[in-house]
Amino acid sequence: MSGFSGGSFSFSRSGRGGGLGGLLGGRHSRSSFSGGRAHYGRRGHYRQRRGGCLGCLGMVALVTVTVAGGAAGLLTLLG
Amino acid sequence: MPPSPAAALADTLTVLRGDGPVILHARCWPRDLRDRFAGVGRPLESWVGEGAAFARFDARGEPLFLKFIPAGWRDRRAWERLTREAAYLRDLAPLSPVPHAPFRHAAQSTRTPHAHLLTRDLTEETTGWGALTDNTTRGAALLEIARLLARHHAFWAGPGQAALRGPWAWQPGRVLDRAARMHAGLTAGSLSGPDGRPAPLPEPVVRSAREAAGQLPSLLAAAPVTTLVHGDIHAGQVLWRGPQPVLIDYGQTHPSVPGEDLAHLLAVRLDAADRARLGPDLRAAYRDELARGGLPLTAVELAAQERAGLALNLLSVVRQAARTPERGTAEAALKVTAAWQEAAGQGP
Repeated sequence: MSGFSGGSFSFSRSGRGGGLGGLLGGRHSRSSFSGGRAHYGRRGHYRQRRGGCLGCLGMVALVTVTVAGGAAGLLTLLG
Repeated sequence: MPPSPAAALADTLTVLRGDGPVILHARCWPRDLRDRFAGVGRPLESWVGEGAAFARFDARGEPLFLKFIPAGWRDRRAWERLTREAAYLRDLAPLSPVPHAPFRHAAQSTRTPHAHLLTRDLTEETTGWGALTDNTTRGAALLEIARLLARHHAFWAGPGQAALRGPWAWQPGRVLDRAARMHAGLTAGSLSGPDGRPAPLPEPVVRSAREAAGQLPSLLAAAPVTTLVHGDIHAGQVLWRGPQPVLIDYGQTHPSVPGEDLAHLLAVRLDAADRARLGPDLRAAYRDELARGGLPLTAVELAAQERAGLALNLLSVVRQAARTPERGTAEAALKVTAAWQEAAGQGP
């Protein structure tokens, strides 16, 4: 079955040319189907970026801080 | 799907050890691959998308494009898309006359749903939809995209058909079984959402999807030509090498009726006003190019293809809206529902 990963064919409504209007309006826009943000980057290539996520390194940093904080708290209590 | 801390930690250890065979991080490749692609340094560009992560490299003059499932992800659907695309680019795409990004390497994990795909990076030798400066050039480009789809469809419906075996072979029974299950669910009320409770789908969406599911057997019977469809044609899936379009991203490619891509282009990727304005020329360009590729269809046959394809798109987007009820999928479901009603003469 078909997928829906964003990127409608946009047509400017203003008639002023150069616009990225329509369903993918502006340089940055909500994608049509998902929570990510889409834009046209270098040489007009489509780029959709995931939104609202820490990413792997962010998650690892969070885990590290949590574990280190817990260990420090435990040592404080024991001390 | 947000990364789970445990999965992220386990995967990060794998990355740090340099274990293979799959790339889990754009900057830290498995040892074997670093040896194989000597000269790959830091990415020129990298980003995380909805269904995969991406990075571009210069490997001593060879431009490489990496698509992978990053450390911490446990997304089975993303894995299926990536492994399907890798299989298509490795096994089938070289047979087709449709330009694509050539396959360089792929691997998949057997322990976790990770995979990567390396192709030639076409970024610097092509431009994208965003480089089209006005509506006239965008309209002309859209006609080229319709012709590109037609060439893809004509090849896989004709000379390429013999290569479509196993998962690439059209299996209408599976499609109809799935539609029948969906019809039963919709008749009972709605589809299950991610929490197991009925998904909050609007009534017109439920009604139209139920119609489409019920009519699918007769719609497919009226559209007997089958091919390999791209499955996700949109503005980001076509690169331009001068005037020549290059079709990329085959993560959703599958056997189906050619009308599925045509309906996707018209009903899913264009709004109603653009569909009314551009639809007749797009259908004509598509049909002419199909004929040039050895697949002549009458106007009636093409209309039957588009109707069957629209039903398949409607069922697909409604399934996704039920599974991931967020604003984007809900809007898409309403949009394809409107196209379905418009085609049935029930539109506003």
